[in-house]
Amino acid sequence: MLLASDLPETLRHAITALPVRDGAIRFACRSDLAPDGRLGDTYLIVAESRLLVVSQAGGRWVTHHDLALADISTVTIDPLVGSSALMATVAGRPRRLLRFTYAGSKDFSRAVELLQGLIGRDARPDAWLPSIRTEQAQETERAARTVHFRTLRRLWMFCVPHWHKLVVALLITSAGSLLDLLPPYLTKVLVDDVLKIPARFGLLMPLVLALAAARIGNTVISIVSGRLTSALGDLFAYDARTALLRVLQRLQLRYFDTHQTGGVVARVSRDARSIHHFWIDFAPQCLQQSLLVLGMGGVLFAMNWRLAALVLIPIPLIVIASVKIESHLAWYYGKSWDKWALFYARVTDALSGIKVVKIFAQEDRQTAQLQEDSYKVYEAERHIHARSRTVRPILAFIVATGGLLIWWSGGQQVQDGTMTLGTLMAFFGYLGMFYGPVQYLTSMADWVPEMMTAISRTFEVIDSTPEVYDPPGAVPMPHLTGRVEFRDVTFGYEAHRPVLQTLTLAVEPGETIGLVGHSGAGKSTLIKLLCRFYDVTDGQILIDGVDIRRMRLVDLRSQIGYVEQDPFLFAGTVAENIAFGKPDATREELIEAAIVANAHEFIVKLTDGYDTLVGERGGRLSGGERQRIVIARAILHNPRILILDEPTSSLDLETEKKIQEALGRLMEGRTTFAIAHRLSTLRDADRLIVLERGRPVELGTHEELLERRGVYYRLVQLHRDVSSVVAVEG
Amino acid sequence: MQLDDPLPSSFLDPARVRLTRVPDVPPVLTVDGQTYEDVRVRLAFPLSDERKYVAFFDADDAYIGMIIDVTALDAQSQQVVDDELRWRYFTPRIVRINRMWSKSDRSYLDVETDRGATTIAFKGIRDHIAEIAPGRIVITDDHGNRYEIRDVHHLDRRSRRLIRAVV
Repeated sequence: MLLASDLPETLRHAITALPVRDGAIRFACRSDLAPDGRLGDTYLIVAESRLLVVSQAGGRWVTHHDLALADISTVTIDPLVGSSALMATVAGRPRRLLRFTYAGSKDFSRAVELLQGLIGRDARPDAWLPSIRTEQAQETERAARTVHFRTLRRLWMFCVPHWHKLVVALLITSAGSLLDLLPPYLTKVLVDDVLKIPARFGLLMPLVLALAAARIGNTVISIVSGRLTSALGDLFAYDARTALLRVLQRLQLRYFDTHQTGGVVARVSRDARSIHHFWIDFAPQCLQQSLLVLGMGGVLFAMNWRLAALVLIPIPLIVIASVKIESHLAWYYGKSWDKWALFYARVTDALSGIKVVKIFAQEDRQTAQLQEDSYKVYEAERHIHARSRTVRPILAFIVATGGLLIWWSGGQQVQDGTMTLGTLMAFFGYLGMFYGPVQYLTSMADWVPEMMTAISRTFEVIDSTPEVYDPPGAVPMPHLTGRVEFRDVTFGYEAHRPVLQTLTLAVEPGETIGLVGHSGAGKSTLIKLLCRFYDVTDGQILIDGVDIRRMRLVDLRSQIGYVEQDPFLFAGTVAENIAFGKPDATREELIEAAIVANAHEFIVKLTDGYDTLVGERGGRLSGGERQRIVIARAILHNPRILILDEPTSSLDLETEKKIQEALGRLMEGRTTFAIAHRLSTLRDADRLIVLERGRPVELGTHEELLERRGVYYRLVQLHRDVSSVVAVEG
Repeated sequence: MQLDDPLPSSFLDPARVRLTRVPDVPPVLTVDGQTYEDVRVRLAFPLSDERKYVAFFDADDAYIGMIIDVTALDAQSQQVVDDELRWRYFTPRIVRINRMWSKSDRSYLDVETDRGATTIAFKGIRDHIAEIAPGRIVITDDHGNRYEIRDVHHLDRRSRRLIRAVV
């Protein structure tokens, strides 16, 4: 999406020559396909009340289309193969405006949306212009977000509440580092003063004891600081997981449309663990090692600055090598992460679909498929390790050259008598402690990129837009009567492809509406809009006269009950499942709801009664039993508006009867939307609405619609034929 | 939508419920003057509430009704209900864990319970040990027998440590 200022200078000049002014450009959109089908720029420009399509040919700008917006009745996108076409209906005939490759899909969808707004009946003012600006700004910002610094700042936020504990851990860790300085110094005294000839035996014992004390003190401090920092790390990781979980529950349903559940699971488990790693392994170590580098460096210079200077020679090499490697490896870590996420997603898929796999006897093929994904993980990991395992010994070698320099130069100084042997030995002692941390800090190059990738991905989820439950100015509506009105509702998951079109329907409180239509007709979409899982593209949904976008989401959702086609039970007890929408329900209320749902008797007969644990997806209960638990859940929830998605599969007669009874009691006095498959439900509904390809085609009672002999009549006939075929075969 | 069956009344009035029995025979229940023989007694919340929400079923295992609180019954009926519940629900309570070990894929717990000492054997910890409420642990062995730790905090230190290593 472009603004006037983004257009090429020459183009703007060209436009000024046309009968529109430069400043009047509302927006523009660039396609990467020229009208002749070659790759090249074509611009869609909407200026004042005109729509222009312009491209460059032989250094000149050529106008291909120049239409008045008033002449255009609709603008659509026609998906082709490898590209899409922007179409406009002019005087009842489709007109091909331009083509664009998939790279332009997003921009042109947005353009169509804006154009629809301009040519539609409710021509909006130019208010959307700033919104384009912010969109662009957000995108740029998102790109900048990959910078590790931001991630670090976010990580820091997690420690702010625990800063005092952090300070204690810091102090103890620094004390440990200081204590590390002692042993090499004692070694120097030991060599120079005690072991010299003639030897002074009296000092040997105290010095060895002092060495032992230093070692013991060091051990104690390592234990204490280790426990302290890792406890803090666990705490931070827990906080991060909590933040992540909270966000996941609040994410818009749209997020789950575009992300596989398995991939999300990988984020929660693997990536949140990386935050754990950061705080447990990385942060304390990094701190301690940095302190050591500084401390040792200081001591080395104090002891013999000329030797110390030699020590520093390999360091620039180490740093340069590390930085180079880090940026190189980051790519491989990103790849490895993707392969892991794919693998997790596939395994999750395969396991949740295990019944299907077994019924089709496709275990081997599934295994082979998973093995292939697993192999990709292997390959990605192998590439990383091959590189890091090559780099590390080379770095170690560079470090070792430092030692060689000391032997040569320090050895000469001892021979000259300008330095004692003890000092040289102490020097080597400190040197070992100096290069160790330096090497550690360099080995960070190995895993810091991986960790940072994972951590920033976690934040990416945490930062994504959650559902707004209570926007400022939302209307609180704690008690609905249940009057529902759809006014010219149009909706598409992608703006240019509507799934529901101009649906208008008014439902009285307590009325039961049956939704009828082929699959894909828009029944479920209508329900999703009513629950506000998605917002309408155009039109309004009103409950008790208020647009649901202006209602408090919590008031809306808490008064809608949903009995889904495939009843979902959470892992937990039967009682917890029934009380899901009303956790503070008393046991009496719970039992009463179960009785109304015809579920009480079978529940009490279970070994553990209401305390029975139902596994994942409620596997231990039959379909009819799960259905009734879900109905009890809805009854206890006591919604004003009920959504009923009837299962297509039939159960045995007895169970069926019990469920019908339970549903009848549930629907009493509530506004009900039923996606109906059973003839009995259809017959009992107050009115039926028949949808076909997103449009309402018939509305009336069962009898009225049968008499009309239209779409509904054919659907029922079909249903009867199928039933009779089944009956004959059965 | 038409309802074929009227809604069953939710709870029985304990004042109108009486249970009697002769030894070794299932009890007889009288509700509002109507008598049911060979009654079965079940708990609606056997794990979380052992003296409340008691349901009665007739000889054909059809639901009769439920009382909320056993203590609202007369003393004799209370006794019958308690006996029946003890008859139906057998869950030894673990008072001490002596040893815990595993061999190949089986885990073993050497325990003392309120009904005597035994060794519990099971395969896979996750499916067999569950903390159903904070401090309350139910262990199911390979045969489906159940053992219970009422409150982990009431165990001795060593037993507590052993069980806390797995749950």
